[in-house]
Amino acid sequence: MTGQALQQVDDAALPIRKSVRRLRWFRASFSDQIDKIAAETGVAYRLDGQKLAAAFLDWLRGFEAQKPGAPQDRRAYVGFAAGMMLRMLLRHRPLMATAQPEGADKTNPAYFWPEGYVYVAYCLNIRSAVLEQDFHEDRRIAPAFGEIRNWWSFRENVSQDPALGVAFLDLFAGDAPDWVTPDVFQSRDFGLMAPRFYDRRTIEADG
Amino acid sequence: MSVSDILLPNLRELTLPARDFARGVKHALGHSRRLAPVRDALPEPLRGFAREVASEIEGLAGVAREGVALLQRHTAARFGLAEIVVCPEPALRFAEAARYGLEAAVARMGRDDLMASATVAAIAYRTSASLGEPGERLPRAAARLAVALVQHHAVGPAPGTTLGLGVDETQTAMLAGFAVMLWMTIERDAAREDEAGLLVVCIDLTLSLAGEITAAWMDPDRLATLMAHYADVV
Repeated sequence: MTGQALQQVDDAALPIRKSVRRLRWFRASFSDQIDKIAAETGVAYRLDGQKLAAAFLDWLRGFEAQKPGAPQDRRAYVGFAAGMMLRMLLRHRPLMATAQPEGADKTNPAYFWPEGYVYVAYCLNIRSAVLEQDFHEDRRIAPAFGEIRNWWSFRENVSQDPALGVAFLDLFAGDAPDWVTPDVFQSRDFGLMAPRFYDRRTIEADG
Repeated sequence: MSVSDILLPNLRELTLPARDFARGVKHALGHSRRLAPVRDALPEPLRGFAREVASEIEGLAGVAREGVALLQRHTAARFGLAEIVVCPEPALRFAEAARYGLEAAVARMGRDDLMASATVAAIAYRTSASLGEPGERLPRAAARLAVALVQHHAVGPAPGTTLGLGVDETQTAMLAGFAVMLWMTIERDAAREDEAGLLVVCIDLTLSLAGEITAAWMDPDRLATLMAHYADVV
């Protein structure tokens, strides 16, 4: 379901990594995601445009603030930026599910938490599209995405700390999550700099 | 003094007050229905006369709506300030775009009771344009126009006056003015853009920045900086 390309993503005139930093494109592609999921699941949604704009602005500020300069960090930053987007959507909650089909299966994440499902699907789609376009990676979703127990944990944890959304998106995407400081980007440069400050045995012991 | 030296009114601009008037009466009739009890209390034949007048006004408002719709169809991709300032009748074009945008903005803020005036917007444009400097950047001109729209009371319970203008209405007018000028400032791809959708994006963004905008309102440099930055963001 989430592996499907979004219309706006496919129609992007600019590279997606640039288009997504424009509010008009962000809003259109997010609306497109809602429409697709609503059509597939029968869930009806109401979007608050003002909250969506606030989420976008907070994300953009965070994106610019932590943007790494080193080329070797770019790929990792795509995943991090998508996670930060999920964090801001969870924080501002621009979406509300207003109706669900009768007898909807609540063990399906799309019905267990319809709003969270759209947020995650959108961020995974953007993440995959940028990785495909800029790094020629195939679009993929980890099996963890479909497991309802992960969604129980996801919903409970992010209600207390939306920053954990960054780590959960990594989990759903099949990457290794950072549960300790999920909203701080860890540069790969650190691996190069570490020998200057630490004994090599310490680094190796830390793995 | 020759005829050409006389400052003649632009005949096309004379339609603006007529449209404003028609919209104003329609607004009063349609939204508050304040006039209906008065009309019903009238004895015949005055009641019939009032009904006929209301019907005439309704017709006039319809004509005005058709005119505006026509204008919108033909200028759908030309709401950009960069195009407006170089067109043959910039005040007229600005006035219609501003009125359309301001009314959309106040409606999105839940203030259907407020109206916007194309006539006052045209006056604001003229006043503001006379203060511009050669080579001025677009966001700075847009920021000045936003302030001019509010200073001239282009939007309010009775546009062009301070009647019924409280703190809430002034705040609403400021945000509507900023949103509309942001909409006119953003870059657009004429072939692809949905103008109504773009306007909504600008209004929602403005509302999420309400504190920042009102804090910068009295500082032209700061307001122009915000206009430029958020035009890029959109």
